[in-house]
Amino acid sequence: MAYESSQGIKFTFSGQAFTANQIQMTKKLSEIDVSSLSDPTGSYRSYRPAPIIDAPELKVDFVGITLPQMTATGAITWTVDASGSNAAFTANMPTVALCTSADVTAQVGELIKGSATFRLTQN
Amino acid sequence: MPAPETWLKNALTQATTAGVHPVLAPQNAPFPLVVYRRSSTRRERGLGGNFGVPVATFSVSIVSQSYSEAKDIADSIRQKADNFTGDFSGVRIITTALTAESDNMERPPEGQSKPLYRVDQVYDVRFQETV
Repeated sequence: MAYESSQGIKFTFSGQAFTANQIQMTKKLSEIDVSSLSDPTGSYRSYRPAPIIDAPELKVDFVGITLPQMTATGAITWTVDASGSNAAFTANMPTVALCTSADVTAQVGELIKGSATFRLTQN
Repeated sequence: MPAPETWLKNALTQATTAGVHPVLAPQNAPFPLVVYRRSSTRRERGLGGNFGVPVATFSVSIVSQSYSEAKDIADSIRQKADNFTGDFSGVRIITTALTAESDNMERPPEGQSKPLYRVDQVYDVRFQETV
C-alpha cells in the first residue's frame, strides 16, 4: 500500500503562513434525484451525477490568532520538506480557494487555536 | 542553561529560605528543604514539526519537621510561582499553573519518632524553546 507522510507540510493562504496541525480535504459528489413515478413502491431512489458540481472543501486546524482573509479568493501554496515523500500528495491539492468560515478558540492552559474552511475555486 | 529550571529555582529561592535542590536533596541536608524535578515534557507538534512551546511538568516537594512550616512554605511558593509569565534569564515563560497539591510524609530519620512532613506540588510550565 502506498502511503505518504503528512509531516513537513507547510500551508499558506493569500501569502499568510499557518502553523497547521491538521488539514482535511472533503470531496463530495453533487447529485440529482432522477426517480420517477414509474418506480415501484419500496425501490431505491435513482441518482445521477449533477452537471455542475460542488468544489471540494478544505478544513485547516492551526495554532495562532490570525484568521485568514475572507474577502476574496486567495492562492493556496503547499511546501514540503525536500526530503519528504509527500510531494505527490501536495501536487494534487487545490491552489485557489475562498475562505468561507473561520474561528478561533482560547482555552485555559492551551495555546490559542483556530480553524478555517476553504471552498476550492480552482484546481 | 536557558531552561525553565533556571526560573523555577529562582522562584523557589525567593519564596523561601529553605534549601532548594534539583532532583534529589543531598544526604544530611538541613530541614526544611525543597526538591524540584521535571517529571515530563509535552511537545505539541504541527505538520511542520515542533511548535517550540512545550509544556514542562515539574514536581516540587517541600519537606519539613513541622507540618505547619511545610504548609507555609508551600503557600509562599504557590504565591511566587503560580500564574507567572515573563522572561527570565533568556527563557520566555508563557504560562505557569499549579495543577495539583497534596500532603504526604517521609519516614522519620533514624533515632527520631516524629515523621517528616511533605507537601507535593505539581506545576505545568509552558515555555518557549529554540527550534
